[in-house]
Amino acid sequence: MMRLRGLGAGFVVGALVLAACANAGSENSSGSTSAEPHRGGVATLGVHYEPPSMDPAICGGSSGFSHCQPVFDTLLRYDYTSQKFLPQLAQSFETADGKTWTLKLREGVTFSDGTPLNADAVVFNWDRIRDPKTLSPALRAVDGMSWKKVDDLTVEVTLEQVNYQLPGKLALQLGFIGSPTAIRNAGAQAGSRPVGAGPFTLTTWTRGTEAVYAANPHYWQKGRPYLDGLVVKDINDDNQRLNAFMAGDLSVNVSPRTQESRTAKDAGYEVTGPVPMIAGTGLGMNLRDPLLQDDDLRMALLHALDAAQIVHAVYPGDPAPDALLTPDDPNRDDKAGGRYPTFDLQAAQERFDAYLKRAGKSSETLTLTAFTSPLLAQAAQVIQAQLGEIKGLTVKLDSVDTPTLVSRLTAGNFQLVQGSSNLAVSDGIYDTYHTNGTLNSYGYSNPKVDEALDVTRTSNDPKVVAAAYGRAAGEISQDPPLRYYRYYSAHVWQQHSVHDLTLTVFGSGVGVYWDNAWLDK
Amino acid sequence: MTKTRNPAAAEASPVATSGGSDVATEEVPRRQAGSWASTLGTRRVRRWLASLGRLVLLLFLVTAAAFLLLQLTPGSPVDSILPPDATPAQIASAREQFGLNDPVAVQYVHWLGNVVTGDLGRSYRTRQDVLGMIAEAAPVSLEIATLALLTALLLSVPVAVWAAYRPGGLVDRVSTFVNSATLATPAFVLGILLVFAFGVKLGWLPILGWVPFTRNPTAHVEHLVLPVLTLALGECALFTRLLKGDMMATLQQDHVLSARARGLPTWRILTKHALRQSSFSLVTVMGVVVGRLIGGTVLVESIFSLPGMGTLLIGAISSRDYIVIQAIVLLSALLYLVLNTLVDLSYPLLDPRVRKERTW
Amino acid sequence: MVTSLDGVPGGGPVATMAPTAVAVSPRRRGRKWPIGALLGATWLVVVILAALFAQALPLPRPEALSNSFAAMPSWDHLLGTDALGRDVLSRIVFGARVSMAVAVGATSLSLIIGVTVGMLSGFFRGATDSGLSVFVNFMLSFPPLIFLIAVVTALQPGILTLVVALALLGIPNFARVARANTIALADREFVTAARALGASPVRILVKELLPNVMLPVLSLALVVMATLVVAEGTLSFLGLGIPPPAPSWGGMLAAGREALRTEPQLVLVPAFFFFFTVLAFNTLGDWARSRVGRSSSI
Repeated sequence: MMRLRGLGAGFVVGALVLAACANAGSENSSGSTSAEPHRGGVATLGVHYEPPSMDPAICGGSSGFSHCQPVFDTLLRYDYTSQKFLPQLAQSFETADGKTWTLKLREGVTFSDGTPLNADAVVFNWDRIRDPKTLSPALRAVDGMSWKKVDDLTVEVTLEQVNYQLPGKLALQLGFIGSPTAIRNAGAQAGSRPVGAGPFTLTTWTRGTEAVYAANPHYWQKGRPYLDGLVVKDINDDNQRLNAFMAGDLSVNVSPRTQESRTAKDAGYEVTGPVPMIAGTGLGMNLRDPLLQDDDLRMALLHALDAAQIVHAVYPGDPAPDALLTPDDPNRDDKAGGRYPTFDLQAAQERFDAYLKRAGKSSETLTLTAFTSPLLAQAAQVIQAQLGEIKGLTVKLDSVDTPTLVSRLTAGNFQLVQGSSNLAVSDGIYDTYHTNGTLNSYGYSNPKVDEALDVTRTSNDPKVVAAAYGRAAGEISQDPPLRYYRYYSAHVWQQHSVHDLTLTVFGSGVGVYWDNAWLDK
Repeated sequence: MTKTRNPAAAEASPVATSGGSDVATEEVPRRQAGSWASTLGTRRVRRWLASLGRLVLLLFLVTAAAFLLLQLTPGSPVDSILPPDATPAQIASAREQFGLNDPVAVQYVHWLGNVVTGDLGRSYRTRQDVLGMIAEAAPVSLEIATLALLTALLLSVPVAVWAAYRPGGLVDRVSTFVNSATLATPAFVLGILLVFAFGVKLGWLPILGWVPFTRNPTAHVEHLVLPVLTLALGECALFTRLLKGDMMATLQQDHVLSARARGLPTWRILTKHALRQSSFSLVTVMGVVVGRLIGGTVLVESIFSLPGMGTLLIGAISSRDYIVIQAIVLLSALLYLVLNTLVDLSYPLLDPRVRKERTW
Repeated sequence: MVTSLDGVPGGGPVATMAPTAVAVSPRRRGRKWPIGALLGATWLVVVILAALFAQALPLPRPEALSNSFAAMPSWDHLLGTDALGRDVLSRIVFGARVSMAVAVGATSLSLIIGVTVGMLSGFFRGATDSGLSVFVNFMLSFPPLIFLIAVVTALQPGILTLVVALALLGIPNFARVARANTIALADREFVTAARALGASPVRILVKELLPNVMLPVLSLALVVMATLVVAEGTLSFLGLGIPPPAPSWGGMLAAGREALRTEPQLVLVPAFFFFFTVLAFNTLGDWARSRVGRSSSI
């Protein structure tokens, strides 16, 4: 079972209780505190990333959760403790056979412009995502999906193939529903003038600085939100965000730094985390490159990588990854084995020498394409030094800026790469590691993994699915195309005056649902 | 050989001159102090038109070069906007929407046509109107640059004047030392050190972010102090040195000596009689300095997380948002050229005795 | 010479040429030994020698990682270690190579091209002058930062790319000074005499004018080098400098910034070297100009 630190357990439990009660319309306060919520106040959230647009078709797929959720809310909500998808804006999303799903919307929910959030609105939004002209990052998510309106509050979704993991998409990529009237009227400005059914409305958005929201008087949950307003500040530098939080400029900070989070906790702040995610940065290998198809060469590289040294140097306080799934992940199956190859220079040298002998070479050169931003560049230098410990191997470091790296990755134009994968939900493993996965940049193909991942989608039994994920992850870890040297971790810091945050995870980190949040006077 | 009072003038402006003729044979228009109208001869008008022509030509060259240069950078806006799992239909649509399928020359002409009608396009990344984006970001940078300039002047003029008046004195020696020190400290190091000292250790000032004046004037000013100071200190050194040099020369001149002989108070001599003429070097460099300050805001905005033009530019380059970069190139070049023209035109206002040496 | 990136070489000479040509020092000290310039020269000599003979010095390899991160100075590591456990002194010395190579290399290239352009313009005037003036003005109007970022991104970061990009930016500086001085000198008696004797333009340019033009140009070059040391640092700070793992002073500053709160020495040590090197160049440049300056005024 997952260990939750601090007040996180209380929050999540409270959120579950509330979600269960939501249908009944009752106003139970969350189970973690017996205090009566105060009304009023403006909370400030500090995040490191801002989406390019608040167009609901763009936001979900581009990690825009923090900016868009206040305005749009999401159809479903992911609870990472139970790994379940719970109804949020929608009333329910159910299936009998995994192929045909029924989405039921709540009665009487309107967007902040007064128009109704009904089946037409959902269909309109999803149609927009499907339209290539919208350039929605969520387009892939609707592959093999079709939908139709059944009645005013019901949408029926049909899949070509059974996929019990579908709800994940309604918590994120397809989860933001905007007012069709507003979108039509806004035209090209749809990204700057979002109109949704969430607890807040957007007042102003100073790009690159902050977005300011005000409470939505038409919000369907009467009496909510407790807050008068919300400010989401985009502060890219982790240190600066930390400073801002310590100075009291932020109510809530989302931080990827373990060391600083510990310090904050010791200083008496409320810190939740690390929030479990399936995400990390690592050494990626292009399996389409003939050199890297050689098992001995790959194993040599994997044995030469010392993740412990990398995190010690660059991310002090973080644990060193030893498998795809973190030790906290409920799907991780330690009994079945399946870990990354251990750090063993001798074994690395032996495998490398075997490779040279077979290939008839006396030395080898590989190129590592890496990022230039400070922490990533440091990690890349350590990797280069570590791999260079293998005698006869030269690793050249090719540092390029992010767009260049991304286009090389997409085009398959690399040998070794500093890769990352941020998966909000376990289903992301399918996209990255399945032979048919749409995000499989490394050309990885393993029949055992494919079989296991297929089960995760076709089975309705949570135990079977968990075991399948464990199997797949274990198998991947033994010979991974992307070997994490660092698990991405996210911590949520909050001032003592902040209460009742509901947390979730999405691709880039932790998200906050503000419906029930309140501030001390 | 026409003598100029200040050879700095010989180096100044790129635009405000006409082409062709030799210095010795050129007729310099006659000027009397304060008689503007008499100078509006056809020769002058022709010179202005020639300047305008050069300005337009340069803008063409600069924007065309920027276009070409951007084509050479690896990566494209499509990669930055669409995820790795984008469908071919999306990629094709994106390329069409951004005009990337046309040959480069056609794209340039198309862009030029839009610009002439005042349409700078829409950002590939955010779909915002580019002119709007710039209108949002420019005031931030301009405010910082202007305040930095004023602060630098405010700090340097009194110091320079006094140092020129009392060379070798305490003010002179201390200011020279501080100047050298500041000149040797790069702007970004200065910025980091100021953040460290005032923000982190002392905690007196906020170290990042921007608060609009309308939201909270006090906070607005607080957030401005460190960035403005970082920029201003760099230029202070330059101003002090220039002004001091000029002042020292001016103070030797006849009209000043005669004013002293007449028993005028010191401060009046310094400010009224000497300062105006000594500001020549200062004004000469003003065009360049302002240009540099505006460029310098890029660094400062990066250090202090300010939403100005610099941040806009860095962001646009990071996502290969060509259309935004083009607009910034155009406006930067325009600003630089206009400023230099203005500086040129201000010479006769400062010292009618100066003949404008024909320069580049 | 101001140290911000925009107008890195574009702003210098206008400002720096002026004061010495006009300032009349009221006190003439009979000082024969300019202490500042001497100290500056000494420092530069030490830095350049260290850079040249870096390989021969008994220092650990600059890329060698160790497990003592951000350590204070010790006998093993005279200046301590950086965030990845690499020896700071070694990185400073090897970084000096990069800084000096960029500074000297880019300045030299700038100088050669700029002086050629300037002298041809100043000597022949007319169409040559107009044409080259458009070229020079074009270079001045193009926003330098965008140019640098675009060139570095297009050509991939590296010493050669930096040298070329910075050299291009510096050409207008030298061109203007060369041109102004050529114009000033072209009417002098020795040139007229050479013409009368039937010397070809090339001969006049090279033998008569060039030596005289070079004096102010060289004093400018010293100041420009200071600016380029800073420019390399700034570019590294923005992530466009010499790519890792090659050490560079700017890169060390940029990396050290992460740990400013907890280990400020990671910033202060490279900043110290920066400071004194730029100061040395500036002081030498000032001294050179004060020696040469008067003769360059008209």
